[in-house]
Amino acid sequence: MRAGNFAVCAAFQSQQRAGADEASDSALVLRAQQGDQAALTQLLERYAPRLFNLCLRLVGQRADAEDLTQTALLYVIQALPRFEPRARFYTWAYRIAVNAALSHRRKARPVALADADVRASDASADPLEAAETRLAVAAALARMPAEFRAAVLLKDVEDMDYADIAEVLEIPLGTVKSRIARGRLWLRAALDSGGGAAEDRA
Amino acid sequence: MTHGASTPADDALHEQLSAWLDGELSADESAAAQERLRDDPQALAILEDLRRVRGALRALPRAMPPAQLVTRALQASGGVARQPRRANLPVLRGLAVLGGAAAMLMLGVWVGRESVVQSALELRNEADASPPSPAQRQADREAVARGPIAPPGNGGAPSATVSEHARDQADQTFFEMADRVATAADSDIVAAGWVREATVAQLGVAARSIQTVAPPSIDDTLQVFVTTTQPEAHAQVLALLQEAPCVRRGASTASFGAVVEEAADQFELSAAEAEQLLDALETAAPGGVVVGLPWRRAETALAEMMGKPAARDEGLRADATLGEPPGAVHEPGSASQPDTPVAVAPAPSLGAGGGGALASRPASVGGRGLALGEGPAEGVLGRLWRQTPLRMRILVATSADVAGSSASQPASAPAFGPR
Repeated sequence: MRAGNFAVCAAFQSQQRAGADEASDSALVLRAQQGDQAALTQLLERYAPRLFNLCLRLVGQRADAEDLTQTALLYVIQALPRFEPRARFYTWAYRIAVNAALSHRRKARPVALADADVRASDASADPLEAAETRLAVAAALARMPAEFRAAVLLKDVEDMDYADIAEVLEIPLGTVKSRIARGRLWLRAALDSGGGAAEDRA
Repeated sequence: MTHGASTPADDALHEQLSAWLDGELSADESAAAQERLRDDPQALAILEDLRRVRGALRALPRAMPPAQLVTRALQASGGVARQPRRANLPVLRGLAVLGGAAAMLMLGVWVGRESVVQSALELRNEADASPPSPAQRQADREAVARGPIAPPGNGGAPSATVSEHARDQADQTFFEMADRVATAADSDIVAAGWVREATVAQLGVAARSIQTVAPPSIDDTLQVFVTTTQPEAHAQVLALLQEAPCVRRGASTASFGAVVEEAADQFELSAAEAEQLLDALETAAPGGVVVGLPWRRAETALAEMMGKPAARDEGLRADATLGEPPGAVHEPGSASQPDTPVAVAPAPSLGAGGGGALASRPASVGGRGLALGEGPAEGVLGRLWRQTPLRMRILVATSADVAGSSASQPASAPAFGPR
């Protein structure tokens, strides 16, 4: 019961936060469309860290993630004048980044462990076990099937609700639900098997 | 919790509990889930597993991007976003040159992304830093003011061209950039991927497009653009594609969201089927077919393949004719505001900076498009297909507004996007 309430509360907070961002995004988008450089910069700076982090989790390599994020930002800048006010910038920006990253992944080598995970684990002040767990999670995540991974990342790392994820990935709500559940279970199985981090470090 | 193959009932339970954990169930569904959790220890164990995984994911460190990422993107874009601007003829050549280069460079980014991104962006910046000189602009204005110069293959239709000097300049810029990008990408291909957004930017939300791809690779791909300006022609072309035995049909996998949401279906044809289709397309859309190659010097290569001595000979037109859209707005104080369309060499561009090129006839993206003349070019595509080992992609586009308003108004330029 408590868990359920917590989950509902967290989702509500997420929606509230997304709503607040949206309102502000809309204002910034409007100003940027009117040629306001500061608004455009603010908009990009708001999203660059989120998109970069997502790209990094999707492709694994920091250099690739930088390129993809920059490409996504560039696209945002160029397409923004044609962006329709009725659409939401939040999901649109994520969709651009996800599409770019997934398109890249289809051509690229298998995803490697994100640099950030290695550094965080090496330098972590956490107990060794915690650091190893984090490394194992990151390694397992890197091997997760792409369709699961995007959904799981958007939910558990970016804290999106299912409707937004459906919009970003352009899939039905039921598919979002299924992919997140299956992705989480896939990850749990990978962690239980203990192969995630070991494989990537080998 | 077992790790064996799950049953549909297991999957349903997992989904139910996972969604419950996320607060994504309805009140009734949530009540059912809670009841299950009360009665079923295994369900409770699954929930704990899910919660543990979610917690582990949330604990992953967030990486920060380099500080200059936004700055670099802004610089690469040429600055602040602006509302699309209608064609402004006095500066059209400059826009077209820079825009063509920009489009091509963006394409290069997608093709050779890993190594070429920075180089491409630097080249783009370089192009932006070298706009046409005032003297060149003035020469172009004077050339336009002197009156129409019918481009070869245009049948003397009322149109004007920019000066030969301007066109040569555009050619030089275009190909120099193409060469450099291709070199940086370590590839002969300078155009690929990208540009669904350009399609939609150019066609607008009223546009319909059908993309035929065979087989699924951009390499060695003959690009065939078919743009129709008449509803009947569009229907005929569409019918041809719909009747063709496609390998795959479906929604595009390259949607970029709101901007492209109206751009629609994608078809894939086998090479054999594509061959059967080519001549029929020519007949259905006379004058609306443009072929292109995603190569450097594609214009020359195509001309050779087609047995033509030069790209600008009769029957082959290497220009993207840029027609000014209805309601075009000229900047106050423009030295020249001609009413006639203008033909320039490079393909139309992406982005707000190239807004003047957005109402153009078909043109290839990155490489050069060769229009097949004003009349039906019966058999040319079929011969080309048979003579070359190329694969083929076809994109058919019609703007509903254009089709409904004017037969003579050129349709917008389509472009290919990532699949």
